[in-house]
Amino acid sequence: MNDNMAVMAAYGLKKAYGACMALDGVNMQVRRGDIYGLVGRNGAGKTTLMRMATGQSDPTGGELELFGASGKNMRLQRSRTGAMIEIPSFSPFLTARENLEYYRLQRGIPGNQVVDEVLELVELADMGKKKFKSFSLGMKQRLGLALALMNHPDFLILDEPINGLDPEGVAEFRQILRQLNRERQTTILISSHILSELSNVATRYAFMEQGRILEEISAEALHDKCRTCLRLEVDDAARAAALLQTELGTDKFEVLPGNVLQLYDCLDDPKRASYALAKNGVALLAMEQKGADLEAYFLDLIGGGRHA
Amino acid sequence: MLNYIRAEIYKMLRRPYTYIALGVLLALEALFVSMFAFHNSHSLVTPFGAAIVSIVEMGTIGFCICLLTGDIVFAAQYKNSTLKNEVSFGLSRAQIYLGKFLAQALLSIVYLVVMMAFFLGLCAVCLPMEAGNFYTASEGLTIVSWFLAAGLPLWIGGQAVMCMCLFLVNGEMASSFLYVGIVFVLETVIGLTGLFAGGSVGDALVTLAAYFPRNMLEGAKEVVGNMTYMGQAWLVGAFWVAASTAIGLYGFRKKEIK
Repeated sequence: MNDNMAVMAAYGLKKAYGACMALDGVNMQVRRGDIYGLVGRNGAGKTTLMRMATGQSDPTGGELELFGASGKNMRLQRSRTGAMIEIPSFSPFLTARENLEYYRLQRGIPGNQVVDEVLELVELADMGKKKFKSFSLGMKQRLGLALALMNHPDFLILDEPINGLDPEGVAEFRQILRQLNRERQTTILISSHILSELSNVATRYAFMEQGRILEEISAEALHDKCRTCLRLEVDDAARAAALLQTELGTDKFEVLPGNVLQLYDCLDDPKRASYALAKNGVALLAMEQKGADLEAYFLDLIGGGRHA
Repeated sequence: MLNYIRAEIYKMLRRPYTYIALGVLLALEALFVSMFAFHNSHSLVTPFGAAIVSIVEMGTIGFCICLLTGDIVFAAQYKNSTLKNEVSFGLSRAQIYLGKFLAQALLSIVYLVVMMAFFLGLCAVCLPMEAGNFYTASEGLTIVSWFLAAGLPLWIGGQAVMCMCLFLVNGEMASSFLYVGIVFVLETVIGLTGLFAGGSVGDALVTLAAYFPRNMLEGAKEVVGNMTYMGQAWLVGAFWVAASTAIGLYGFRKKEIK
């Protein structure tokens, strides 16, 4: 498969529930090898998008593709995916092993050792005869992940997968995702409210709000945008740029429209910059230290103070 | 499809419900046979042949068993939200629907075979074979065989209705009520409406009511051995399977899985 091929792509995807637009013209591409983080508030449309990708819900407009297939052909491609949407659900009267064996038989996955392998991977191998109905939320999440991994998927769709996991579980989960992505080139679409956790694994992000994708950005580009810097507003950006090079000997800055410079140097001693500019007759109109993490970036993007 | 049915069998064999329900039904049968045996010990003799023919009077129980077998196989999939695991792997809605229906029908047949074998075996052990003025063993078995052969498609038709209700209505209680409404109440309502309406419309309604599975089975009691009626029973059963499967599948295809 071509590395640049979109494992999942949406073109003007829409979903309406009555008058409410849960998805309003979503365009996105999850490319092979991505760990694609979906960021958005409750009701932004993340789960709706994932439910469509997994066939639980049909779009009311636009097009969705999986591995290049759309429409009825897309269903067959779903056997290459693993999914965990919302809270994992299993038959309450069966054990972890029995539940997985049931789905293994149903999906025609050969060899029952695969059940032991995935149970081992998510550390549920020694659950014995404990029924699913007695599982904690964390154990349910682990079993959901085990089911999603059982068919060795090329594409994993995970909706809030670390809800209910203890810190150790979160770390193990992160490790599993990285390992799958690195060793099996598994593409992963993941949503989480815990943005710090998402920022630990994602290689690409989409920010969603009110059923729309506000921005799609790579982790590197986001990192650059979130870098701590000094924001200098001056009366003459060209001269200020030249002064930063000659007086401070740095080229770690960007010139932005509106006579604004972003300086990624002198962060521990901002006075050096202001002194160099003032000494050479460049008026410093404003100076502030700027920097953001994923959460701050998202909040800035949606223009609100509410949490994701 | 075979994989799907195999998985359903795996699941139902691990459900205590499967065995408890069958155990209760067998216990009721044992109680029924013990009543014959008790009467026999007080001079009223009911031989094997006469006892087993009583099955003909209890055909309606088969439609009640459809409720149980449907519920056992469907296993509250809407309440437990487990259908999403099947859909998200790319199994088609048709495969899921038909797989569940076939598993339900299979379980119904297994229940029927076990219950009949248990009942006939218990009767053979507990009741005398000498017929006197009653049916001989061979006559009784012939009547029962004909009745079971005529009833089977009608019970499977009932199972198809139960499957449709389970897929179309969220909640086992609501789907059971719908099933009872269709199989037990609707025919009566249509039949009575026909009788009150009279004329050609009334006749049409009475005729329509006669083709409901339970009415067909009730009618079978009166015409034991009539192969034309058995043919009609198979046609009516096939119609109910086809119609309810078509409606259920259409509704399920449109349904959002949550």
